[in-house]
Amino acid sequence: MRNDPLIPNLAVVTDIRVDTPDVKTFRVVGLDGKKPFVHIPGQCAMLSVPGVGEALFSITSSPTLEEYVEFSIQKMRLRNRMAPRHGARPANHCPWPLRQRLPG
Amino acid sequence: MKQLLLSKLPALFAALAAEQKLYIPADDAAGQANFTLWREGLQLTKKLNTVRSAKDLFFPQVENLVGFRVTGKQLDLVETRDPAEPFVLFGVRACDARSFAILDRVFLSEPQDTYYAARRAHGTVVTLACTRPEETCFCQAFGVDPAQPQGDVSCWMGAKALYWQTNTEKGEALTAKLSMLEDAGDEAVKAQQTQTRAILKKLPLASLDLSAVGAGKTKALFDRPEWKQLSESCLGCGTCTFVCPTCQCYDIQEFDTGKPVRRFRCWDSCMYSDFTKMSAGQPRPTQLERFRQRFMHKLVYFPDNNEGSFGCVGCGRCLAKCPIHMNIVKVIKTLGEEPA
Repeated sequence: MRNDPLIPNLAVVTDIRVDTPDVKTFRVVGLDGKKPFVHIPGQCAMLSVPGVGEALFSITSSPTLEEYVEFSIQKMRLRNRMAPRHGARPANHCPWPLRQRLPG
Repeated sequence: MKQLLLSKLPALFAALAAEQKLYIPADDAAGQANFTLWREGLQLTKKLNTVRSAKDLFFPQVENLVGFRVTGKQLDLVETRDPAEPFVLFGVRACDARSFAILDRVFLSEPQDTYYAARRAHGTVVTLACTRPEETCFCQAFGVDPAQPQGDVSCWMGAKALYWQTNTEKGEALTAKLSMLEDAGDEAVKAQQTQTRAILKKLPLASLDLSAVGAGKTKALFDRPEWKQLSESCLGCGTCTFVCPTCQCYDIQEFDTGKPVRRFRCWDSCMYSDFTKMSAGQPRPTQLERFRQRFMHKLVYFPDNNEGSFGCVGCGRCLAKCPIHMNIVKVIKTLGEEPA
């Protein structure tokens, strides 16, 4: 079941920082305590809260950071609420094409 | 080339179904043809094509992805995917057979969709050539030859016999199990193909011109004022996307069953007002943007990203099923006229 793009990896929230009254930053590691996945600039991740659902969030920590990933999340009306237990998977969309010349 | 007397068709189906599941296009109680699990006595439909496309067998309308079991602070994943079983899909038309190549580009490119990939690996596709293409057919515009369908095995239904041609290793493995097939010449098939191609030339959509659409046409077409008039009467019902053999958008949802949480995916439609709705709002606020997205995707964006290959196979289902008689052919023709 592991490494399937549609199945989230289990992850742990190790820290929650309150940035503004409606924005919190969640620090996330894998069950082994290490960074759950490697990403490159422009990439987002699908975050799951079992029973609530899955949604796309931008990764707000630097790709060069080796210990964890962070997500800064604003409270909205829909389902983007975070809970202590959750899953994360890198999203299937394309990151910024850093090594490719853009047209125009 | 092999052949089988038509009187032995039930025996062929029984032999195919003996080792794996067999799906054939058959009429239901309401008289609608759809791919149906074969059972003794089930007859092949006389209709040209099924109401729903053959993609259902590889990309079902609803399927389980995974479950979550939450016990206190412990969270475990629970396997809920359907076990992949070998199956034969008999009687697929050339248009639907081409749609698999399009779906493959989406689901089998990295990162691969393992649910779709498992069904593709376990499915053997036996196609059936068309002999009576209808007025709604325009597969030839997309380079599909309904008289020479692709697939693991291609078949032609003659007056007295079914002709059977093996194309792939999977097809050979299937053919090897069917001792009732006899060697045959290809004269009857050639004659049928000539006849079918003569009908194709007379179809009303035979000369559908695709030169206005295709890769690289985004700038020329995106702001065309005709989108307003084309989309004005669209109800947003999504029927076109549900009968389409190449539409592949899905939504992932989950519900708490009381025991494990069950996550499943189900078909979605870009024609719906809540499609891709985000916390920041709806990026395509009116039916105009949704309508434009569906056709630009099939006719421009998909070719842009797939070496010019269109995301339409010309099966004609959307022409037959749209409640307001809007369809991809009208869009192609309108965009082919001089800009207003």
